[in-house]
Amino acid sequence: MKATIFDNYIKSLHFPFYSTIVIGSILLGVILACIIMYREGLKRTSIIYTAFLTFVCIMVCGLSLQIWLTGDPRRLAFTGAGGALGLLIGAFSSIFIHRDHEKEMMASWVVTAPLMYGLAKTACHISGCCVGIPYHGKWAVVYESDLISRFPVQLSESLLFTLIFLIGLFMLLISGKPLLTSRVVIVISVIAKFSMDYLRDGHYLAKSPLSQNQILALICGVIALGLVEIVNNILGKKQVKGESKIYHG
Amino acid sequence: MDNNETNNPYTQTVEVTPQATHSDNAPQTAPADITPQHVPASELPPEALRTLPRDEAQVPEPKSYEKLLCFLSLGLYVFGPTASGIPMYIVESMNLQSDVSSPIFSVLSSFGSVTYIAAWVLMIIARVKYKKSVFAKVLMWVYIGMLVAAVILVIVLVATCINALNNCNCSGMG
Repeated sequence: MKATIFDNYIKSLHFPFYSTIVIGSILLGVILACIIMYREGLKRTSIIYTAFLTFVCIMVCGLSLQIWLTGDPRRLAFTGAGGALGLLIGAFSSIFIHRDHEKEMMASWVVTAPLMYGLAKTACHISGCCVGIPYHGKWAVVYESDLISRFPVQLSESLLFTLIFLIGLFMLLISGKPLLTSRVVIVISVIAKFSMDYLRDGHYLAKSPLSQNQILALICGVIALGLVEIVNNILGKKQVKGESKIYHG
Repeated sequence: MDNNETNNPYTQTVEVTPQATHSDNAPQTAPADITPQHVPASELPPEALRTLPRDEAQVPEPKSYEKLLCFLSLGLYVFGPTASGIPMYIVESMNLQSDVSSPIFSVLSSFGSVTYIAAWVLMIIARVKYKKSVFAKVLMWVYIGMLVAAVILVIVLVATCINALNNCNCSGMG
């Protein structure tokens, strides 16, 4: 067994931190999305209700997709793709309910999604799930469960997705184009998730060229881009029609 | 009088009527009775109608769906998880093969999730559309309380299960 700087760290924290870190990272993302929405000029009531609904959707979809995929309710874990789908469902439902700064609301949630995922990945690193491919380099990690030297793919994903969040945040604040920012963040996130899966050990267990995670990432990306286009085209036009109807009595 | 004012019957009523009453030595209270507000709403032009308060324009109040939304939300909130949780427990206790039980669990968990999210959506619609609704407000606080309890329960449950697994020298989540 090769000794690395991560050995004692992983052993000391153990698993119970998994759910706390996952829920904490989602809560942090929700709080940041609320701050961005407030800065973008949304009403306070819209922000509060959107935050609650999106948090519920993330949690429910993240947990239920795990059951849906494994078919085993005893394997209580959180799926990143389910969380992303839940975030999209919550944000899009809120846009329909409140009709308040639709584009900004969509962008706030899309931008913070990579941060939630990135922070939640530290829970995977600590608990020893979603492990990387065998690797014997400088940053190798060894888990107690199998004692194999592995690439720290979870920490790499954490750093990468936190970087994507920062890029999206600066782009939103500087450019002031929420939908363009949403599209860029979605495309970069899907590419990052798709690419990083090749460094996961689980990727090579499946016989198909694309793993389940990659297929889910592509599906999430297509749905997200579709919803952004709906917000851009259909909802915008409907709002103009509604306003003109009120004006003419 | 300007051309603009003569074209507008709303303005015409205000200007002309008091002058006519003064010339006939009518009581001073008469002009106050003939005000634009006392013209029937049906006789007013659309431009003037828009300036009136909502009740005087005689616009019928929209039908309130407050109770329907709240009851539907509560029904979904109670029925969804119950209708999916109890069958899941029964199927699990039957120890069926995974080929049989997996699709059942998938369908039941999806049903429970959809109904739970729908209950939240309906409650929020009720809160947004009918801000003074006490029923919707009570539902909101009940849902939030249950959500906080569920989050704490998940944290404690996962921690307890995994501690038990560690004590048994089993591997945790894969």
